[in-house]
Amino acid sequence: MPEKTQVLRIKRQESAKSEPYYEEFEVPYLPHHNVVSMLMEIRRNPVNRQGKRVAPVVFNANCLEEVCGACTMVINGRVRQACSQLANGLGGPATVEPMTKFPVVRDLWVDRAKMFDDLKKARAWIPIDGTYDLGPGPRVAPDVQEFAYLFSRCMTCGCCLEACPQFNSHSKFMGASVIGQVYLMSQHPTGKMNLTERLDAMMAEGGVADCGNAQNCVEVCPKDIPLTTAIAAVGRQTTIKWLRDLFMK
Amino acid sequence: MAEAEAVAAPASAAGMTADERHWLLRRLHSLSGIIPIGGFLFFHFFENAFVLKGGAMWWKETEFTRNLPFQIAVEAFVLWIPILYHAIYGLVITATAQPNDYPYERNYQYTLQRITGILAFLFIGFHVISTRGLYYAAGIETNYLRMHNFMMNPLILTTYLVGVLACVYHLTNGIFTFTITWGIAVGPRAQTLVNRACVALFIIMAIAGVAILLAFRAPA
Repeated sequence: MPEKTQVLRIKRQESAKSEPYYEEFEVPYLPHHNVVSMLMEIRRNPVNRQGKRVAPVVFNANCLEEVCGACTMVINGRVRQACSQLANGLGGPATVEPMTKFPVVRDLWVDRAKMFDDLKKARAWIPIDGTYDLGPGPRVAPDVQEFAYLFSRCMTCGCCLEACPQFNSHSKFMGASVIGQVYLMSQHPTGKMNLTERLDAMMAEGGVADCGNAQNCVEVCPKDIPLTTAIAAVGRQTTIKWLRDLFMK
Repeated sequence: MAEAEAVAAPASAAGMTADERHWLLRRLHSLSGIIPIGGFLFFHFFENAFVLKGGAMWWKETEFTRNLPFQIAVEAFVLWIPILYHAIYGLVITATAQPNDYPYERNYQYTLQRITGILAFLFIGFHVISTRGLYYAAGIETNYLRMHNFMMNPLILTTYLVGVLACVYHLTNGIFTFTITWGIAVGPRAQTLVNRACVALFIIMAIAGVAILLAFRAPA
């Protein structure tokens, strides 16, 4: 072992059903190391601090540049991407845990399927496929494009949901990421054509009305997406739709 | 498409789907906190502020609230039913919460909103039963002497101070979240401005509330 090392205290779990436990590993300290590269180090040499050879720690990672969201974990009690958390400034022993709001598959690997299911429920896409050529879509003003771009950076990582006190096992709330995508789709003139069905999903249980306004989402979002703006704007859209339906239907 | 829906809707128009009911209950919860409950709290502070001009003045100026036409109906529909609804459905919402320790101002306000909601519910229950409740049950008027004795009792005074401050916090923070929920303050700048205005309102109402309570300690 080199003189300087980094201790990682990792929350492990053999399978979805088994009991979690903590295990400590010591890896050589390099200032340019990040949590993912240290987990790779452990994978190369899966020996814990007691010197016992154990099963390598399972984790998800892909892009290693904070744009895919796969390596989202809770590091020292705060949710973030592991790849952008450098060893420099991490402090030790550093606690590395899987996200708590999603089912654990194994060790640090969680199943984020609920986020994608909720995107489907909210119809957060623009249907453009059909049986004939629909021709070019309407043009979008540059300032609208620029604003919409902020929301298009969402990588469905789950940080906003992990930090949200209303997103949990005893609530159906879909959370900020879905509301942000619903708002993004309503920025586009073609997307606006399906606004009604998206707003119906937003007015259902688990929709925008279940937000508790803790606003942690916008604080922890690694992409600085103005999520609270989306929540209030969708709140306004649903208010208007409700009043319209009340008197027009 | 809107036309097609309007034609298709009447089949289900008689009833409400579970989702529609959920949305309506949430929005009624948000609205009832401001109208009528919030509106009444402003009025309640204003009428009781006359105690600052003496107990006799207070009794005289609050006279009309004790002699309203349809007194019980007004109290029930303007106060008791909306407050009970707001409180009970508020507890249902609170049961879905999982507060955490992320160190952000709004997160603390979120947790505090739920704590003050429960405190306000307990306090308003005690306050209403010990004043209007006793009046309807036993004909006991809450006159100046009774309020004076309440405020001279350290335990009741503490209950009132905590209860009034909880109500004031819950209302002022609730005004802020109301503007988000209904889509009035949308962007971060607008929300920051409204939040600051609501903090200022909290300070003003907190001072007024404590001053009114302490004024009842003056001998009759």
